[in-house]
Amino acid sequence: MTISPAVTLRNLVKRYGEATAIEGINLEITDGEFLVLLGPSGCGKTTTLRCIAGLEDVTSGEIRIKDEVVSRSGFSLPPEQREIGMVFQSYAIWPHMSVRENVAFGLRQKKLPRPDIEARVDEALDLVGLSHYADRGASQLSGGQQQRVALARAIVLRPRILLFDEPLSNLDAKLREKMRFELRQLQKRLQITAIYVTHDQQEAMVVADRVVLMNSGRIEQIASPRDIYDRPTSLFAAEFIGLTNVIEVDASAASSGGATVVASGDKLMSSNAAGAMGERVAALIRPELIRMTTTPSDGSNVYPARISDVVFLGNIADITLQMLGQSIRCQLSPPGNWTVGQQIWACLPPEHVILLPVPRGGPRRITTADIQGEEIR
Amino acid sequence: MTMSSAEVLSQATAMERPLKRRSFDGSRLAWIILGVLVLAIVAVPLGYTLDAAFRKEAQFGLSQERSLEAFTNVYTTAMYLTPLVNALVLAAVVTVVSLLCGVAMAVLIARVALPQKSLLELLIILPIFLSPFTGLIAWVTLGSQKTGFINVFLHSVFGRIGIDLGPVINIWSYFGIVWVMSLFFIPFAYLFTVGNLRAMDSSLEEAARASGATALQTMLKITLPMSLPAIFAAGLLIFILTAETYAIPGIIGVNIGFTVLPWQTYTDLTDTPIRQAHAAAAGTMLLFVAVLGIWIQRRITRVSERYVTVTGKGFRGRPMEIGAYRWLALAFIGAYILFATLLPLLALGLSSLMKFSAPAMTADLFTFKHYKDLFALGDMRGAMWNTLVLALLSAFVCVGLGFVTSYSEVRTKRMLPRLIAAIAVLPVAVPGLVYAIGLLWACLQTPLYGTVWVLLLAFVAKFLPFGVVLSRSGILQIHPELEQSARLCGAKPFRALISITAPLMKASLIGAFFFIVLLSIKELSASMLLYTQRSQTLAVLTWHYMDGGNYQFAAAIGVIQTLVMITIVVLARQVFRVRLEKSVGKEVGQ
Repeated sequence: MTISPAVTLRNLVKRYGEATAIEGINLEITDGEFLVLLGPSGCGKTTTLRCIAGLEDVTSGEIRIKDEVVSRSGFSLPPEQREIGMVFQSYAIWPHMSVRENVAFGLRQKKLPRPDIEARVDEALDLVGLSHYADRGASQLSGGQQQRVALARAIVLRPRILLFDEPLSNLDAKLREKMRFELRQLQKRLQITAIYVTHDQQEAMVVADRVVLMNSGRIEQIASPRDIYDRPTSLFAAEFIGLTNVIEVDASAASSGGATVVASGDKLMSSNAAGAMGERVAALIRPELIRMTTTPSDGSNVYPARISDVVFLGNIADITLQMLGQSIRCQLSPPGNWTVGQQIWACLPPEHVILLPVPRGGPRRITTADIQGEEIR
Repeated sequence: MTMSSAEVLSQATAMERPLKRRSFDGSRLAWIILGVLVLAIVAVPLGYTLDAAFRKEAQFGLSQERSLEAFTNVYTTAMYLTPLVNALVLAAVVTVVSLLCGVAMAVLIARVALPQKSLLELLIILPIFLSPFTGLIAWVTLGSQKTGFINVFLHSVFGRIGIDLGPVINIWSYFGIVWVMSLFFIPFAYLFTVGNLRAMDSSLEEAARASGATALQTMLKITLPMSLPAIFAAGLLIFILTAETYAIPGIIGVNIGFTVLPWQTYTDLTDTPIRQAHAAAAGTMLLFVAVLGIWIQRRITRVSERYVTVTGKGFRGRPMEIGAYRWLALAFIGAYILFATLLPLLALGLSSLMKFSAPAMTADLFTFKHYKDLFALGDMRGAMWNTLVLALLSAFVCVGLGFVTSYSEVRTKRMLPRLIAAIAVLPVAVPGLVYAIGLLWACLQTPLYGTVWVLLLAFVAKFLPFGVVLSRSGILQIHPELEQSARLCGAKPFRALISITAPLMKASLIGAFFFIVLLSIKELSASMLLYTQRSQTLAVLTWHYMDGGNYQFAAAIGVIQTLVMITIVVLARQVFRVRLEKSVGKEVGQ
């Protein structure tokens, strides 16, 4: 007998009038898993989360929690009956209540006996480290504290699933970094299934057991953080997560692992050749995997290059190379000593070169707006 | 044993419970009821006005026969077109004067460093909360040619040094109409523009100063042009409000042979021979003017909001220092407060205590008799009671309906609630007079005729837009996630509304409530047509005594009415912590 997943999405579609927010998503989330929905703004990740919470009706497809269908076309179990905890982007702390009242609200709705409520509120506040603030007015708290209240309020009901909608995006950078680890530890300690929406790939890397990368209402790739970085299955995935160099190559020989760089005519080898390719193919390599030497090294994929820019970033040097008829970015750690104008040799190890089809309309460049912009609902 | 169909049904629902429809049909039914209710309140009287315009005049009211006579008379003869032109020209003059003074004060309060700003603000706004008609009574006692306090005072002062100034001010003139109306509309011009000026990014002005412009140049070349759309929108609104006012131009105009269209409409309905169809047709003409004005105003407001969005996230720097000029600015604001609030209140108080209008004041002239007499009158007690009931009920209904309407509009974003909300704000463009004509005709054959409930219908229709707009702005300030998180904590929709939304909206709703109470207390244009002996209000009673030449009685009622209204403003401020002048500012302007 198989154990049914904590949450199942089957062919989930959500439309707002003409616009389609989600275009048929299939997903299974296992018990106790920390799953991150990652993607640029407008990719449908928040809409997906809100459908799971019951805050949006679904257009078609269905959502199950355990074995129970909670959403399908025309039906939606009201959010209050789903036994879900949610932390909102705005925290949604009720300003007219104290911290304790905020956390106790859900327990009161369940009409639990008073002593039980007190005990569970104390326990939840203790878990998030806010025991001393119980009787403060909620509006007197800092952003970080409000965030913890929201968390306490979500876990105090011991929900089946915890949902996070960009919970850290309103905190400053330092605190954000700290909270990532705290959230993850708390989730592991409570062994609760968590679904977490973010546009911040670093945040996703820290907290996720599995990352679901979304783009234009579809799932691009589902993988562990390590796999999605090392083995992206699409140009979008490679470009969205981390930095990558995109080198356009001739499609004809791509499937065998050898390819010709379109711009310069050089031969480029890859040991990661995928199967069928489209009309256009790109070779990808991460900047930190490029090796630089002052003399030509042995092996394949070694090309002469000229350094056009060097930026010193402390632990790494970010170097721009002119090679293969284009600019290639390269990151070295430790930084070493390099000067602009220097002629060097760069090696793109074939085991790190990935060949992927270029979708119609050219490679989709990630802009800063994608990464910083807010999710549009 | 067989189960009844109800039992079968309830069992079926029990089995399907987890799959219950999210928006079960009850809510749709509720919306339809709400929609019908709003439509009935807002549109039915208008329909009756239109209907009345196409009927034949009868000796007492309207006949069952159709006729185009009234319509053609109104739209083609000088008898109506001249008053229309008069009304439009007057409205234009008053609008320009009000804008000049109101915007100047708004700039000073919003952008310039002045002492005691919050007190000044309250005093500038105060006339909005008072009745303009009471203001007229006060200015009649202040500015009459022979007996007016101002002329008497100046005469005696200058008389001592042997100079005869003659009458300095004469309120019974075209100038008098413009003067009294402008004093009353200036705070509107102020209120509708000050928010926009406040929201402006002050670094824009600082950049101008850094580029070498003086304070005055900055104001004229940067500050004012940027808020031009808001100023223009405010101007149109004032124009519409002025064009439909009839009490002030009417009472003064009768004495100097000057007639505006609303007054002509009013006399058609009240003087024999009664010409109801003509009044209704004239009402449609007023309605066109108002609708056109509001339509343009809306378009401009949309543009002006775009201006604000571009610059609105600005940082608010220090208010501008203007050195010694600030005394000039204070003198200007002070003069306005003196003429619009202090002098009228003083005159009203004095006049209500005088036995009769007299040019010289002596101790034996004063008496409390008027107040005693007033309270001994059954009329007065009835009017007090009616005013109170009407004000509280209309505020309650408008806020209640307004909240439900705007809540379902904002939160569901569905077609039907949005349509209902759009209909509910339409009466902003409808002169009270036009509603009254329709209601008069609609309720003639019903037991409602002659009761205060007809007045209540008119008040609710007229003030519903404020209920909608003010509660909408309250709802928009509450992040929907606050409610959604309550839902996820296990609260049902209604529970979330009661525990979360309602407490957070308390201030907005209370503000809206008191604002509508104030509007109701001073309502005159619809009341004048709908009241009967049984359903007089304070405002109507004032009019009566004024019309009958009994200025002392009118002043005494004015004092009472003013005291009630000031009490409400203070009550809202002190007990409920709602600053009416802040909570109604920008929203009412839209």
